[in-house]
Amino acid sequence: MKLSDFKNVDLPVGMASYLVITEHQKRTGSPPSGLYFNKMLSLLHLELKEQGTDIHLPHCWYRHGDEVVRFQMPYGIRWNHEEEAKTTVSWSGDMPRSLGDDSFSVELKNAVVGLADRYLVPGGLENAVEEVYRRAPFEFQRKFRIYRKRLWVSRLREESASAEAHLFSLREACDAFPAAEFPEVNAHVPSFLAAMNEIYTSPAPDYALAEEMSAEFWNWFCYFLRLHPDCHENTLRDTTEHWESGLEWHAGEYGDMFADHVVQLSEENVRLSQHPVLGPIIAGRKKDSDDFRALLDSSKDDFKGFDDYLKKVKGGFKPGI
Amino acid sequence: MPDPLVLDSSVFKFTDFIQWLRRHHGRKILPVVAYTEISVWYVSIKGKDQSYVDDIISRARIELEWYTPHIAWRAVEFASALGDFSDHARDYMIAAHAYTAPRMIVTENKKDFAFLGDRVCSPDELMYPGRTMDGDGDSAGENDSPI
Repeated sequence: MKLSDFKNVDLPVGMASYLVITEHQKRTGSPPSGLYFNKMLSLLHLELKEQGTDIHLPHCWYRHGDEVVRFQMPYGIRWNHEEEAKTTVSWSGDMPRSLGDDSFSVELKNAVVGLADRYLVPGGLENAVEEVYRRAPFEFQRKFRIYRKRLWVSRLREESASAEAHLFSLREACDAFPAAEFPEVNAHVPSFLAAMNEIYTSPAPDYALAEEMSAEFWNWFCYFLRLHPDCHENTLRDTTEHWESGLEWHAGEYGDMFADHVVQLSEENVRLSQHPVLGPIIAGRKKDSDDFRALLDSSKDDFKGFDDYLKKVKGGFKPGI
Repeated sequence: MPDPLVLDSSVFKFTDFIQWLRRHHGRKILPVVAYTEISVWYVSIKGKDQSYVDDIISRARIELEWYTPHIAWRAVEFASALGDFSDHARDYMIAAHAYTAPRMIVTENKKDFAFLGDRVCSPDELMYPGRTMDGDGDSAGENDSPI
């Protein structure tokens, strides 16, 4: 397969995307959210496949469940935000020419209308998300979602949250972590749990920090998740190679963020620097920070004349149009 | 996660900001055009090694983002809508990396990127929010479910 096998709006996935977007617009007057679009495409793909029709949806399990691979989706689709949970999805250009009165078009239209009947109702989107997650390859995905959702809801409602309950829910999720499938991430589960334990057992738990650290752990895990053979379909080799090439970077990124949080925790609890798992992380991050400061201080004088240089660059950057 | 930041070359002289970036937990993106400008300054003018530049960038966890056809098309959209490509070529090419919300350009020269609306800010506005920021810098409601 190559990219052009996906980008043409007249292909089944283009027809399906057009129908999902326009059906939503017809019923509500506005384009669908990224969450709705993704869940409908995911369910449409699965349901049609069960009936023997394959629309070849490029999709993978990622941060918000099963998501389409944007880069491989047809040209007609427009997204106005990078994040799935915040974008709306619209259609630009004409209706796919391949949509007509033929049996495949009719089957597709009926399926999209059926999904809208079921899920474009109050509470329907949450049901769609549940339905998609019911098919998640790993129990950990479901359990960690439940943990994060409870934490998020209790913060939103400003409930007197039970730190103990959140910690229990988190431990239950981590007990289901697919260690053999994701050894790189699994190696960091003990330090993650140690830090979360520190937060939830403190006299005044910092729930915002708990939420932030949980999201960062989840986001990092998802870089590995989408690469698992059971977690992507119809993805180009270029796409998975691109994902794979970022793993080392993201591991460093997660490590830095995690270490920053643990340093922050140690500022309120000095005995943490003696912790067998967290102590070395704290010492390492502090040393890195001092080294970087020294490096930057050594380059301060390098920037005399930098503004003039940039002005000249800008002035000379003229292609002549 | 904080919104992704797209860095203009002009911010690199602020070493406190680069140190701040290291502890900033959102994506920090350096367009390859800006990377070229910074590298030319360090390597060709200041006589440093390329590895010196790359060391600063990687230790601050700044991602280098390539100039792809997708990004070029966005620069073309800016040029078509705003015109005057001769004077603004590099601005459009850098701004194209921040085409999609919530990406935000960080620059010392905010007026050069005014066409991005409120998705432009200075290093000071990020480091000291509330002191000089025009908008609140938050492109989405905090109550949106992250899950």
